[in-house]
Amino acid sequence: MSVPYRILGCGLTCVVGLALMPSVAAAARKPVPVPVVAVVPPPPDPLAVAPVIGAASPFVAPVPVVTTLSNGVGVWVISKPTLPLVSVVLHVPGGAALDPMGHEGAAWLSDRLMTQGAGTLDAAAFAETVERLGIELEVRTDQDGSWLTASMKKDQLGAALGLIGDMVLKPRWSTGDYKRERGLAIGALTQGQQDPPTAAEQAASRFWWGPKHRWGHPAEGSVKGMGAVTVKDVQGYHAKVWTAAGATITVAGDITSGEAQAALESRLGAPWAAKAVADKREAPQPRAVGTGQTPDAPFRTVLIDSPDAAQTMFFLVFPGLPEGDAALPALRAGTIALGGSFTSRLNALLREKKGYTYGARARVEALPGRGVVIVSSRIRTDVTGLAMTDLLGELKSIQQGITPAELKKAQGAFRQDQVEAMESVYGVATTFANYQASGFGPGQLAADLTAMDALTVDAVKAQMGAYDVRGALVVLVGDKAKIQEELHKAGISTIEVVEAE
Amino acid sequence: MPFLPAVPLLIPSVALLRLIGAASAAEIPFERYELGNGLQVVLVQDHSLPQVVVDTWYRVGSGNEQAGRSGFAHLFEHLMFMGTHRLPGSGIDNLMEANGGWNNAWTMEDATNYYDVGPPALLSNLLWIEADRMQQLGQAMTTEKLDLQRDVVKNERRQSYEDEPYAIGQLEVPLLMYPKGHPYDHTVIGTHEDLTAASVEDVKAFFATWYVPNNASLVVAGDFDPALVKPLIEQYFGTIEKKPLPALPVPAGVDRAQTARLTLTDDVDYPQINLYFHTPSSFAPGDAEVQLAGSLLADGESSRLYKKLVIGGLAQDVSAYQMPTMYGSLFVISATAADGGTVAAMESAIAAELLDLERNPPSGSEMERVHNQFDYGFLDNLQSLQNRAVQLNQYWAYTGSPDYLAKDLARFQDATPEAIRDATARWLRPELAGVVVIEPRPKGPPAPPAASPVGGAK
Repeated sequence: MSVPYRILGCGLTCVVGLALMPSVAAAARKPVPVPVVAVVPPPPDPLAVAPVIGAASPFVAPVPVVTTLSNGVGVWVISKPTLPLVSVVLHVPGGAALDPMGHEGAAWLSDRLMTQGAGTLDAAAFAETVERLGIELEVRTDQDGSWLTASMKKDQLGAALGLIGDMVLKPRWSTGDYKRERGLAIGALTQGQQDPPTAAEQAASRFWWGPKHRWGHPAEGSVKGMGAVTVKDVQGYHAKVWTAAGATITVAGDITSGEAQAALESRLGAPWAAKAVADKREAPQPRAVGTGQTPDAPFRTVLIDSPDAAQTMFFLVFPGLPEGDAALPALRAGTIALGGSFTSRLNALLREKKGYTYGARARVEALPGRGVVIVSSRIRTDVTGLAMTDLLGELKSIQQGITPAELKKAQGAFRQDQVEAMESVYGVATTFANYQASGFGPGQLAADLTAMDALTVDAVKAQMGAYDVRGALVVLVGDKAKIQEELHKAGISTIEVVEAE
Repeated sequence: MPFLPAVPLLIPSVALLRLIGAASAAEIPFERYELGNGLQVVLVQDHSLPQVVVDTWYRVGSGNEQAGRSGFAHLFEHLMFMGTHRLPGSGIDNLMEANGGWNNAWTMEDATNYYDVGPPALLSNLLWIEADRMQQLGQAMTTEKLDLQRDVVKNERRQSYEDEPYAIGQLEVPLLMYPKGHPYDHTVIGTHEDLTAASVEDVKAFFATWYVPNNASLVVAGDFDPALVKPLIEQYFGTIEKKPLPALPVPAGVDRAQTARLTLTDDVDYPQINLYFHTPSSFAPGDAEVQLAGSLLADGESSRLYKKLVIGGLAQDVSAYQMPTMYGSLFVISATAADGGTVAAMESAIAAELLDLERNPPSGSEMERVHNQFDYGFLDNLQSLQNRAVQLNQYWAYTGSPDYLAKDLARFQDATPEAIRDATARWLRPELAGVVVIEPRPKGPPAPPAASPVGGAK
C-alpha cells in the first residue's frame, strides 16, 4: 500500500504546483485552464484499516541437558551464549514449613546468615569478596524450600562456586551476625505491618491455614516468632536441610553442560555428602477447622484497621490446585481471564469502567501439596462497599465460564510470559529450577505450553468453581470507621477486626 | 501541510555498538534513520526469541506542564490508551492482548515512554496503533475519558504515595529543592487539585503541541525483517504532520547553598532521613562520577554507608543513588533508623562518610568493586529486549543520538578514584543537602498536622 500512496502524495503536490504557476504566468495570454486539482481524488488514509495479524512464529522451549554429580545431585544446564553471563540456582527442599512452633522465621534467618561469612571469610570479608567480583548473590526461603541464586559474568563462575561451596559446607554462625540480622529482620517485619499488601498477605497466611498450621505464617516469619529464634534454630535448619540429598542445581548462560559439570563437581559434588535424612518435605496437612466460612456469614472476613487510609486493601484467598495437577492449566487460563491482564474482567470493571482503583489482579499459586488463588486490589476508601459488590458479582459471573476470545487471550499471555522468561540467564535458570525442584522432567515447559494451547472453554469452566466465595477468605486493610457500614451494605455483616500480626 | 516527502531526510546508517571491557563479546547492531517529518527510527534485530518490542519515546514530561496543571503529562499518558476514532474504547489493549501482546507506559520529568511487547505476528498492528494515536488521539478525547482516568490517576497517587509508608516525603521534595517556576518544582504525579482542574481542552492542546513526530523516537526491536517493516513505518508514520515545537524551558537558577529542612509524620514505626543534593544533569560531566559515588556509598553490604549505619547498628537500611534528569539531577541518600536509632545519629554518620570521600579517593579494591558491579549490571540490563529499546531511546533523548552505548560505558569505566572524590567534594557536601525527615506519628491522641516544616522550605 505504501508505494501507491507515496505516488499520490507527491502527485498532488506536483499537480497543485503546476496548476497554479501557469495560471499566474499565462493569465494575459490565454484563459485559465480548468483546475486539475478538482479531479484528483483525496489520498487514501494509510491508517484506515488495521493490518492483518501475521502468521504465528513457533516458540521452541529450550530443554535442559541433564547430568548428575557424584553425590547424586541432579544438574540441569541450559546453554545461552548470547552474553558472557551465567546464573546458578541451587535448591534444597525444606523451607519455612519446618519452623519450630513459636519460632517463625527460623529458616529465613538461617538462610540469611549463609550470606554473612563462610569458610575463612567473616561477614565483612565475604561481602567485600562477593561484591568485588560483581556477583549477584542471594539466598531466598519459601514455605517449602531454600534457594541459593548467583548471577555473574562468566569469568567469575569459579570464584562464585567456591564461595557457594563454603556457604553450604562451612557457614560461620557468628553470634554477632546472628543478633544483628535477627534485629534487622524484626525491623523489616515491623515495617511490613504498615504496608497494606504485606500486612494483608501475612494475615491471609494466618487465617487461611490457621495459626498452628505449618503454612500458617509467611516465610519471613513474624515479629514475635523471629524474636524467639535462637542460634540453635538456625544451625538446626541448616544441618537438616542443606544436604545433597534432594538438592538440585540449575545452570543457565554462556556455558556448556560439560563446563558446568566440571565446575560444580569440585565444589558441590564430591565434597558435599548426600547425608541420608528424613523426608525434608512433610506431608500436606488439612487446613485448621474454622478457617473457612462461619454459619452466619457467606465467607470469612477479617479486617486490619488502618485509620485514615486513603484506600482499602482487598486480598481474597480461594482454594486452588497443587503443582502438577492436570487441571492447573485450566485454572490458570480462567484466572488470567478474571484478573491476569490489563483487559481482564476485574481490571476492566473496577479500574477502566468504574475508576475505583489503580488496578485489580488475580493470580494462581500452585505449590507442593496445595494451591490457592488470590484476588487483590486497592480500592478508594469511599467506594469500598460498591467495589465489593461489583467484585462479588464478577466472581459469580466467572463461574459460568469464559469466552473463546478470553481463552485465546489467556493462552497468548501465558506463551508470552514464557518467552520473556527466556530472555535472561536468570529467568531461564529460575524457570527450570522451579521445574526441577518440583520433580518435573526437563521437557515440562514445552509440555505446559502444549497443555495450555490444547485447553477448551469447557475445561476452563470446570475449574471456575474455585471462585465460589463460600470457600473464600477475605482480608481487608482499611479505615474501619469509614468502611464498615459500606461493607454491611454489600452483604458483609460479620467482620472480625484483627491486629496486623 | 499534509503531505511530506516519502524519502527519509537522513540516509539510513548502520551503527555497530560494541561493549567494551569484560563485555567485549556483546554487540548490539542497529539501524537508524529519520522520516521526513522528523520521527527518529531505530531498528534492532534480535532473532533469538519470537518476540518484538515497539518503544515510543516522546520528549515531554512533567517539566513541560503549565502552572496549575501538575500531574498532567502523566494523566495524559493514561489517556493515550483510551482509544481513537479508528480504534475506539479499549481497542488498543484489546487488540494487543487478543494476540498475545501487552503494553505499558511511564512518565518522568523529561519524557514519556510507551512500550508494546508481543509476538512478531503482532508487529504491524503495534506500529499501526502507535501511528494512529500519534496522529489523532486528541480528536477523540472526551470528558468521560478524562474523568475516568483522572480517577485512576488519583488512585495511583493514593496507592503509591498516600498509603505507602514513608512515601509522603517524596511529594514534598520538588518544593523543597526547586524554586517556583523551575520545570521540576512539582511532582510527576501532581496534586489532587491540579488533576481535578485538567480539562479536555488542556488534553487537546497538550497533544497538539507535544505529540508530534518531530518530538518522538521509535525503536523497533526483536524478531522482524527490516525490509518489511521499514515500508510499514513509512506508510503509517510518514504522513503525520510535523509541527514547530515550543522553545525548551529555561530553568530558573538553583541556589545550592540555600538548603531547607522538612519534618513530616507518617504511620511508621521508625524515623527516616532523606538527604537530597543538586547534581549534574543526566549524561553531563560529573553524572557518572556521582553515580559511582552512590555505588561506593550504599550499593551492597561492603559499601561505606551500609557498614557504618547498618552494621554499625544505627539504621536498618540505607540507599544512595542519582536520579538523573535533563535540567540538573538530584542525588538522594536515605536511611531508616534501627530500633532505638535516631535521625541525628544517622545524619552525623552520613556526613562523616561524605567528608571522608571528599578528602580521600576510593581504594583500588573499592574501584574494582564498583566497576565489576557496574559491568554486571550493564550487561544484565541489556538481556531484556525491552530494556535495550528503552536504552536507545533514552540515549536519543538525552544525547541526541542512540549511538551512545560505548560512550556511556566508557564514562563509567574511565572514571578515576580522584574524579569520584572530586565529584563528591563538589556535589555531595553535607551542608548542601535538602533534608526530609519522616517521624513516626504519635499513637493515641488526634494526629498533628500532616506536615510541619522546619526551616525555610522553598
